[in-house]
Amino acid sequence: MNKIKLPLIFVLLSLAIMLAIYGTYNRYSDLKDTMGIQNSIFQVVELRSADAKWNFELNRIHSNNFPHYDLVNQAAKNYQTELQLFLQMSSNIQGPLQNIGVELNRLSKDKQRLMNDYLSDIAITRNSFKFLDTLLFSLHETYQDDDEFLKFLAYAQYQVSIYVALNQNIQLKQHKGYDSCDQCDMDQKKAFNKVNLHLGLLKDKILLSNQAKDDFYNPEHTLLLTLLLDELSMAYIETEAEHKTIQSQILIITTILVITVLALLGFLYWIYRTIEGHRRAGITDPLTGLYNRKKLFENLQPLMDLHHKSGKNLALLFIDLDGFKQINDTHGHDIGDKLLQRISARFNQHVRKQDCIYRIGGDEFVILIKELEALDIAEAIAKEILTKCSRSFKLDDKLCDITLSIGISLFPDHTQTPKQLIRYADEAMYQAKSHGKNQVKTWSES
Amino acid sequence: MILFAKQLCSKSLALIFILISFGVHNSWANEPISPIFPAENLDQDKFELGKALFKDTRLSLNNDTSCHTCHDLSMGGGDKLKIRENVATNSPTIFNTSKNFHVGWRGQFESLGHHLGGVLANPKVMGTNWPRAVTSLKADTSFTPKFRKAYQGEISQETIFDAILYFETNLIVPSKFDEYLLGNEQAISQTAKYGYEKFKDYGCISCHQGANVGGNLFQSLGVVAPYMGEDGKYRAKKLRVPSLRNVALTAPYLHDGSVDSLESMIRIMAQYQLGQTLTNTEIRQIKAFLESLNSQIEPAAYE
Ligand code: HEC
Ligand code: HEC
Repeated sequence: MNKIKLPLIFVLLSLAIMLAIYGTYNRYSDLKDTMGIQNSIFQVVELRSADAKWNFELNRIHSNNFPHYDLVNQAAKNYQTELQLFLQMSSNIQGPLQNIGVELNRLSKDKQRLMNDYLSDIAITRNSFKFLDTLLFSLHETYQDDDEFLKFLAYAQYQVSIYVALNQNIQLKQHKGYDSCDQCDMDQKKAFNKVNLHLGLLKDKILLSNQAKDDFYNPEHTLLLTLLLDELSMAYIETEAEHKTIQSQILIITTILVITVLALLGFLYWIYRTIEGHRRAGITDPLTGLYNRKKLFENLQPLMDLHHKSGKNLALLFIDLDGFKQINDTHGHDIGDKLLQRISARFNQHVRKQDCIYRIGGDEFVILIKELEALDIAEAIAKEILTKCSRSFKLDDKLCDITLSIGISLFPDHTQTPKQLIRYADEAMYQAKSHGKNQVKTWSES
Repeated sequence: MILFAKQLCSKSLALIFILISFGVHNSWANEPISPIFPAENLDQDKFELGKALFKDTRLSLNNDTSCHTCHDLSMGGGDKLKIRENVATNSPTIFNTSKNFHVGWRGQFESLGHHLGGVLANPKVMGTNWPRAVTSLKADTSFTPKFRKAYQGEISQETIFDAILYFETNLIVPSKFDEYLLGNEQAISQTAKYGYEKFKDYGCISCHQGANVGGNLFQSLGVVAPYMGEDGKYRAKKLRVPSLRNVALTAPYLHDGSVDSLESMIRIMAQYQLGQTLTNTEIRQIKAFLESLNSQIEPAAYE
């Protein structure tokens, strides 16, 4: 049994270990990096502050007399850098986050473009203010004595104030306009038309720049950033939880692994102990692997007791090889040893499962045939062994012929003691030898 | 979690500092033009190497062109030509370009690095044959020690590229006007000071402003009235408002190089961008102001 099942158990156990190791590895490699998510969260915080700074600069431009577009552009650039950093950091985070990242990139490109439009528009708005301011001032100088025209200029001045307010999204009350100036001379008419033209232009510009501003402050963009932060936090919490379950799973897998390894080690130790025990007890014969003389004496008494109880017979076959010494002398000990091994193997083939074979001396064997109904079965087995072993053995290209002499003694018919049983069988064997070898003799009182 | 909280704390502290620093103003912070300063902690070896490569024709397809051909450092960083063949626009100055927002007349390049890559690869401009350029520079014994000093390494495409980029990024040369902004009242003439006031009063400043007196805003020519050009061939486009630093040195003007004199340029700008007609005195004053914006280039430094 040992020869076949042992490797099988080994293979199974190593398979189990490999499976466990693979499982652990698989779980570990599946693990999402919470540190990565954490960094992405920080990056979104940075991104939001960059965004806030950008908007802050734009707002300042809107209310500042001498705007520094450099600062706005710097803030926009800074925002783009932070966005790139974020995209890099979150590139290994899968799922909806990825889409948000891509969308955010697109929106912020749009935002950049809209910002440029917006800056251009407020620059021009400022120009128009400037233009009207100087124009009205010089007209005032020229016509300070013309009350009618001064009224128109006051109206125009008020109109400019309305637009200044409009620029800050404040609506002032409209006055009735001047659509013609009847008493004007040629120069005044020209000036009148010019002022009206530029008031019209200014109004368009302000509306445009407010429009550009609204476009720029894209609520979708802000929403997306908030969403991103939420998603990231959720992802962080989820991964953290997943981390925990995976950790406990890994703990279980590791425990199984340790138990398996321990079992394997225990099993190996047990096998070692059994083999070692047999060796130490000295109950097997190293050459043939059969039990030896010592084991025979150990076994015989308990077996006799058993047979005594069951009332069945136990036969002892004493086998001696005829002319083994000659084979040793002519062919050498190597061949002799091999012959013994081969003969043992043939014995093994021809005894019944329950019967035991012992090698008790150089060329002496004993076979115990258990649970016998009658003596003739033992004799039949002995004859069978005799004929089977008389066939030549082929050893290292040499043909060896050997015959056996077999003596049989029977328990309880012949004797009740183990020693006697062996001695009787031995005597019977000698009889067989003296009767010309190669035969079976049963002991008899003579 | 503790780590998380700690990091968050330090970040918000940094944010507070940023917010506080908004409140701090310098004396020139109320001026719409801010002064520029020469690059700090300049790596002289790298800078000089970059300059040598800037002038090296071996980086071009036919060994006949260098960056310096079109961006002559002794001509205000331009080439004094209307439009060179092969390219579509007038060559702008190379000085202080890193202060601009986006690169190129239309701001079509995001950064100097993007632009440099494009220029070197473009066969109509440089068309660098890299293996050949690297080999011939390696053969030139004067270059090897320079590279070793600046990069502790070999001559390669990366180091050549980096040296040129380093040079153009740090080619920042302030003007008399910067000295004036920093408090030296004597740095510019009285005429130039009047010119600056006119420049602000008329509203040129709303487009040409910031550190580079332009370069940070997108506009087209013809805001008040459509501009067709002296020969009717001018086509208005949305352009990055050009920097006016070194403008007095880089005639002809506009992206198509169609205007020859600075006086007429100022007149056109006032008329079509602002709807104003300037007197000759005002034009002369503004011109004096623009001249005060010339980078103070020591001829020896750019030989
Ligand atoms: C054939 C002439 C030519 C050569 C050679 C050339 N450039 Fe230019 N450069 C131009 C023109 C024309 C433009 C404007 C391009 C545009 O706006 O589309 C320009 C623009 C630039 C700008 C952007 C300036 C700004 O304010 O936006 C930089 C920087 C620059 N060049 C650097 C270089 C460098 C570095 C080299 C050498 C590798 C080089 N150029 C070679 C003609 C040239
Ligand atoms: C509405 C914005 C705007 C205003 C206001 C404005 N400019 Fe310009 N300016 C531009 C643009 C855009 C260009 C480039 C046009 C082109 O190259 O086709 C330009 C080009 C120039 C140039 C030529 C630069 C070069 O290198 O070719 C000069 C000089 C100039 N402006 C001076 C002025 C002056 C002086 C004023 C005030 C009277 C002024 N600008 C007002 C937008 C403006």
